[in-house]
Amino acid sequence: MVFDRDRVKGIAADPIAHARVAREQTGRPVIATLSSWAPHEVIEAAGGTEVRLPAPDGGAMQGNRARAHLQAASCFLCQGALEAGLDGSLDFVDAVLFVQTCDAQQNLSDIFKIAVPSIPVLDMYMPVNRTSRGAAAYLEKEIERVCRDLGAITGKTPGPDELGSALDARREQVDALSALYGSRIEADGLVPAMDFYSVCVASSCLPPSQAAPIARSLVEDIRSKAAVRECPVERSCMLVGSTLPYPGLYELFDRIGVAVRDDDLSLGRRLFDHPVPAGGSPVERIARGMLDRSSGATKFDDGLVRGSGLLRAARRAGVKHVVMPVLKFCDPWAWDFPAVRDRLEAAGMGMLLLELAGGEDLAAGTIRNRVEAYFEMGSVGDLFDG
Amino acid sequence: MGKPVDRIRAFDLLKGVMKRHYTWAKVYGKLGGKVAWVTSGAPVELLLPFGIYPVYPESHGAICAARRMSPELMEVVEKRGYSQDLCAYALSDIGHAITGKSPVGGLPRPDLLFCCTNICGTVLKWYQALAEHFRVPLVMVDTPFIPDETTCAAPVAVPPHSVTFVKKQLGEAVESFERITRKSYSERKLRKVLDRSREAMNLWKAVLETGKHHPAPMTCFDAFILLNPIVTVRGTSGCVRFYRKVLDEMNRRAAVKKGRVPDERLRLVWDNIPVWYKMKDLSTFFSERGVCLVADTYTNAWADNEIREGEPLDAMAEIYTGIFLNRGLRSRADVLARLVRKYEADGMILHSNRSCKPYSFGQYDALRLAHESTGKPGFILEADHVSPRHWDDKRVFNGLQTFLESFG
Ligand code: SF4
Ligand code: SF4
Repeated sequence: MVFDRDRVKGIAADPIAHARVAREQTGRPVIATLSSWAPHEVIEAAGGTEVRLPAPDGGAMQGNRARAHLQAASCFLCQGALEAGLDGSLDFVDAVLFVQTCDAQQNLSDIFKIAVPSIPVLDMYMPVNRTSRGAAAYLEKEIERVCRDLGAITGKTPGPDELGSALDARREQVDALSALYGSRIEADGLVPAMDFYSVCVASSCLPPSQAAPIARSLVEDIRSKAAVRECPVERSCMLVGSTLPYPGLYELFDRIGVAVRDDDLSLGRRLFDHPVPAGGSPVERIARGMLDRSSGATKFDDGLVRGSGLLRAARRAGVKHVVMPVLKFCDPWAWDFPAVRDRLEAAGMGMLLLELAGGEDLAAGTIRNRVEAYFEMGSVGDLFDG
Repeated sequence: MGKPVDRIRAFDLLKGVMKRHYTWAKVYGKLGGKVAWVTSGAPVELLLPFGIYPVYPESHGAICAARRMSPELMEVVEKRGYSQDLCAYALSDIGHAITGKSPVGGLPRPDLLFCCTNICGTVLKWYQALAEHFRVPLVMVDTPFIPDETTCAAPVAVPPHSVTFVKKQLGEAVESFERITRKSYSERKLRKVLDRSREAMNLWKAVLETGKHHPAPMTCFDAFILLNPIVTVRGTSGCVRFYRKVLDEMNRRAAVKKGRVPDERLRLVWDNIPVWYKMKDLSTFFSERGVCLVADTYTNAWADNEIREGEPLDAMAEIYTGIFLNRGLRSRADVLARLVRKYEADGMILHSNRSCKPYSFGQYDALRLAHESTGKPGFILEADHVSPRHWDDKRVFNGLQTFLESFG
């Protein structure tokens, strides 16, 4: 399969529009989600298609109806999701599934129920204390409940067979995305960072059977180009943070010639950063997969030193710079920034924090200037290092 | 009409209780005892049988804010890269941990940290930062949030699998405390502590309920101050003794119709944490206008849940998961409406607390729901519990004045 850049980019530019068309054409129920912790396999097994909120370009914020429900100090992701519900952009979705991962999102779920009564809302709690010996049993019960709740929406309550098949499909997808990320260093300067982002967004809103071949086709594309590489990219970085539904940032890196060699983002590596466990019932395997995932800022893993996993990942990717885009009023990631920065700096790495209000043009203006200035200085630092 | 002129004698007692608490906390550590820093919603009873002395950064944060020291503490932390939008309790507490500055001599260095997510997710991040700063163990209890049903409030009963999960973590916390103190768990001791907690909470509830009298013998501004022992020394006999005396005093005042606000003409309910650095100004403003804030959702949170008798860890898992802030929006609006009815209030003031998202998200809808249910109007007061950065006297007091005038 040839990598169809335009098609994938089109899906990534507006996954909501894509999901709407797919809903009309296939009749498959659409379940909107807001977090990478959503139980993807359960949605698939219940016969649903997942789509992540809000629209990646922040276009959902044309109006400001959400402000009648949310205080000004709320993150753009929550505002955008609610706005999309209020302005009718989501009138085709069959339900919204909130996985309660932060204070904002857990309250947003209840606000959504009141503000957008036409769309059913489902809830799931993802344990924060993942190292407790009680976490797995708790999560299994939550998954079983979500199976029932989703079944009531889609008309198909998934049993062990459906969940088992969904896990197999998921494994395919995880393998394909892992292979794709494995080729990122190879891809320096050959394919735009935007391609990786587009594949990740498409993977978050296509059934795994369609998403996996797309990831594979990009791997092929990279390999075919690797033979004719002319000059290596000199500047590279890794991205870390919560959701980054902004193609503009990737465009910016492509334009200024900084290779993005890896990320720890909700619409990036965190989509697939855990193996699909073998052994046990499907519900046990799904729960174990979620508990074994990399941590993120909203979870507690006893004994974990914040920033240590990221430092390992940055070393693995061979980067000296980490860029952390954080949405304004996103508490969990704002909390982690100083700890992560200190750890990276102690190891001789640089870190750039980009606080984003949401909806701004990232490929131009102040953000572009800051990123450019940072990497100009970073390059000088690299020269001295060498 | 005018300022509250009479004194509540319990405040003098309170000074003694709190002074003893802070002094003893310092001495305790020096004598080799273990000290824990604890979140206000944590199941603190679990620490006492191990002889672990709990201190509360949130209570200390309130004192720092009331004495206007918080901006200085927050600045230190913001310079280190923390966003000024984060919970101001947490920022000023970390500032205190770094600098040692405090208006009351500060908190003793912790031997461990104990946090529970039933009030918010922020406490996890805050306590992680403290654990890294002090290099001490962090014991945490994760209490699954109880969202609303689609069209009605969250179920009253905590889901059984949540109780099982929380109970398991309480057991794990016990194991940690055993390791840290080298003492064994004693269910007998825990039951005794829980008995005292139950008694203190019942007394606190009775104290707050004296606000049902017309005129009310106390305001929520008094409650914000008198609350301190139920948070910090809950589970001790000193706490029980203190609230017995407070209750006596309030009952006596009520019996002779001694109102806290001279010529009480309007009764309101407060929602959210107080604006600590403006308590006096707000209290005076309302009092001068004959307005009594008769109840509030914040101090009520320590009165609303009775720890049932029975297997202690089961009972604690249930009660600590089902608290006010760990429930959905409709449930919180229900509490607000219930307080309006119970205390025969004329309206509501909702403090939209900028840096406390769990308490403030959804307040616009909570106000609409509470208004639909009671027919009473409300006012959203935009501020922050600790940081005066966004406070504007003119804007707030003009807004409040207009709201009060709407009652005629
Ligand atoms: S994790 Fe951050 S960006 Fe995501 S919903 Fe919560 S506050 Fe918003
Ligand atoms: S965010 Fe709110 S509930 Fe959490 S610690 Fe701060 S003030 Fe308390």
